Amino acid sequence: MKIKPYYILPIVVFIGMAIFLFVGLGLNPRETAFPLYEQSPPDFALGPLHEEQPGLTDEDLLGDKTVILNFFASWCAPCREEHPYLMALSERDDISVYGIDYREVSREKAIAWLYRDGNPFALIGYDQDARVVMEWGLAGVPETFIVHNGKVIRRYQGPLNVPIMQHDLLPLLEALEK
Amino acid sequence: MIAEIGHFALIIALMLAVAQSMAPLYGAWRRNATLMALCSPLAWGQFLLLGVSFLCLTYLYVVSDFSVQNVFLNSHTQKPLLYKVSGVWGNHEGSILLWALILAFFGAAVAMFGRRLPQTFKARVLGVQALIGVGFLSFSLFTSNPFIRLNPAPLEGQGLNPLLQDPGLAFHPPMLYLGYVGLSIAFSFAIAALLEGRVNALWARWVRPWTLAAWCFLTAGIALGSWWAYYELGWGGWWFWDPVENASLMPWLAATALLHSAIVVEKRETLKSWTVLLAIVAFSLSLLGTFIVRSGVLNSVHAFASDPTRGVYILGFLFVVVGGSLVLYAVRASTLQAGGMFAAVSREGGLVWNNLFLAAATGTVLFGTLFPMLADAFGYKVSVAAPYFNAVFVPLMIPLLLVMAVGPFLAWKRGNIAALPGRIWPAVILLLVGLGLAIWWQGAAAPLEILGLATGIWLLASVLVELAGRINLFRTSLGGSMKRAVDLPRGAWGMSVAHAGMGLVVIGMAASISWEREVISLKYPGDSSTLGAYEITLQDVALKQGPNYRYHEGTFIVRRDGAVIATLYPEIRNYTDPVTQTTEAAIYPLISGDLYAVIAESGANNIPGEPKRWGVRLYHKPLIGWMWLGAFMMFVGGGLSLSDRRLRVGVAQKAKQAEASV
Repeated sequence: MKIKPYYILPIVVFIGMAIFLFVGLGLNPRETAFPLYEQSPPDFALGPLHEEQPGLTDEDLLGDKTVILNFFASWCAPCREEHPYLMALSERDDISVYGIDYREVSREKAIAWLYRDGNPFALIGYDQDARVVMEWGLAGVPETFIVHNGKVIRRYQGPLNVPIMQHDLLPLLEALEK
Repeated sequence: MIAEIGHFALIIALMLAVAQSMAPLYGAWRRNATLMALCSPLAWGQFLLLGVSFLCLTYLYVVSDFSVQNVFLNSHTQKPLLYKVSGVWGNHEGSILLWALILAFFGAAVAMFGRRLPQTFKARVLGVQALIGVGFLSFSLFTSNPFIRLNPAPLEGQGLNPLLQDPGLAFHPPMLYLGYVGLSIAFSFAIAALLEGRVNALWARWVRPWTLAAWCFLTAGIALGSWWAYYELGWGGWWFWDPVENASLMPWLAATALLHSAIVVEKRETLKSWTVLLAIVAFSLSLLGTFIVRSGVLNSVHAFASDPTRGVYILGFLFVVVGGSLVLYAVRASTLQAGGMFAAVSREGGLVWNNLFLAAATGTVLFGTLFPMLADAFGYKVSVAAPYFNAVFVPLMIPLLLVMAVGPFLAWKRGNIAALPGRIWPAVILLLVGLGLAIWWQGAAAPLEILGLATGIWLLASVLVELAGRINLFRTSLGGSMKRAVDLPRGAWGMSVAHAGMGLVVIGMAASISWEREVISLKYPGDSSTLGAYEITLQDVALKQGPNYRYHEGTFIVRRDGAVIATLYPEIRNYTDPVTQTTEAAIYPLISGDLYAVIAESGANNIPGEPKRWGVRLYHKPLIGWMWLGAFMMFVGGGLSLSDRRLRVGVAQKAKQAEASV
């Protein structure tokens, strides 16, 4: 029986893919330790989303208050889901909520969205070419990081939701307060 | 009691599937007619038992039996009946049961319509089908059993995600599953053909109707899902390149390629091993889609509860089914003899280009969807989003559409490229006129958008010209043309209708993106906005009570030249179980396009003591309705093709007899 090499190609490609899928199963996107854990935030300086406002730099994350840094985009549907939680967090005095807007199709849309649904972010940096997003190691939007005393201590991939808020984020903020 | 009946029916169905996966395959190998003959009754038995099981689960939902865990977690007494029923498949366990039911349904359909298939072939097809059934039924019973009881029984259920409480979405999963699972038949036919070592025109004729049917359902399922995203997510968009959306797009692309390459096998007895590979790949992508959705390896808006054990199970299953079939392919594909040769410019040539572009597009989407995970495995974190897909997918689609327009003009074997301009020039005129009209009507747009629009018009025009040529329009009397039109095979009509539908889809996409107008602002009741030629006034916002939610309903009056032409009522719904807020866009379809209105509570910019301002978003989306109409035409075109005499099994049999007697 003759087996031609190009007939073997599909199974080879598939086995390669299956191995990655298996590895991928082990890497639960919510549980993996992330490279920035307990590190200082990477250096960056981003221009603003809205021209009349200030942008965002890594210096802004190093203040006395705990910082919640949220990566978002107006085209991202899950970002809309978590929006109310960010709005609620933005009303607290003990923390600062900052945002990095990632790769918009049109900046006007993003501005209009924040104008309409409310803007939880005290400062927004606009990352058009996704360079800062890469430095932070994002797997997608939305993602939320917590920076405390100059160190990145938490990463939430995907939208914030009731379990994350109740069982992790709010207790953590409470513990940091003490 | 009812839950136990459903549970037992499921267990017995698994046993029948095990029997069906062994006896007929063994019988086909040993040429034992008695064992082979078992395949049909077993397929029927499996279908009936799963039908009983599914009805039991549906009954439990309808009567809100919260002693069953699945019902407790996903239903609620206050839910309207339609959503109690659609809640059956609105969750993981129920949707897997639905998958298994549809798989058994297709098995029974082969048992019924395949009476004239050669006995060994039919036994092998149903045996392979049952192997897949064993996989899904044991998945259901061992990791995702919908009939598990709760003790004590809670008084009230936890409710269904309100985003899913929508008529569009109630029917989206069953449609999609009919498509996904329908491809299993093409897969089983491909495996049976590899086992027999024979693929011929007759095989293509058997495979094609099943693929066509699956393709129709996939088309309808994707369109329904996209339509749902359009009016329910309230974002004005209809496609987000979400992993779960991609999971349904990939099998569709592969099935489209398969549909077309099967024609080449049927007409010219060539491209055989490629077609068999496509049949395997199309179903494998359906399984991969299931893996992506069910395992939670990729973050997605479609937040089904995910569970790593299930992921491991599906991956193992995927490995056995896809790996096994590709090994079989590697060993046996060379036994499939290639048939006739053809020139580069010919109908077959066009179909090969079609296949190349579709395969490349499938690969691009697959790569983009899996890349974040692939990179993760190497320790890099990257994100892949709409910009990647738009940049890579669209440039592949444009040449595909150009080939699609020209292909039907070419003859089989060797096309005459010199004669092409003489036949196609009216389409060029139609294109220029159409494009001119569009720009005159709506104004200029970005070059890429104009290119997209031109491609759509070009496709539509060439379909019309090709059809006019076939019926000798303007070259003979109108009556003569009518007669020719009636006599055209349904398959030809099906192709024209489906291709024209694709043209409409592309025009709808391009026009609605190019010339979308939007107003986003904060308004007091009484304020007006101007959107193109329309003046839209927010008259009032009232708080009302729905069946299981409270909602704010905005009233927008639309005027054109001072005359009221429509009233729009968008809603913000607040559900209590579980607590969720959803927006319901109000859409008023005009001939020129949709008027689309959404309201939202605005947290910001409210001044205490003053009347409340509302976030208002208004869109005019020109020709977006053509997209849904086009998708519907593709569905109808597939159905027309399916009803072609040529594809009926009896006819194929006669053709085979004729072939044998030659």
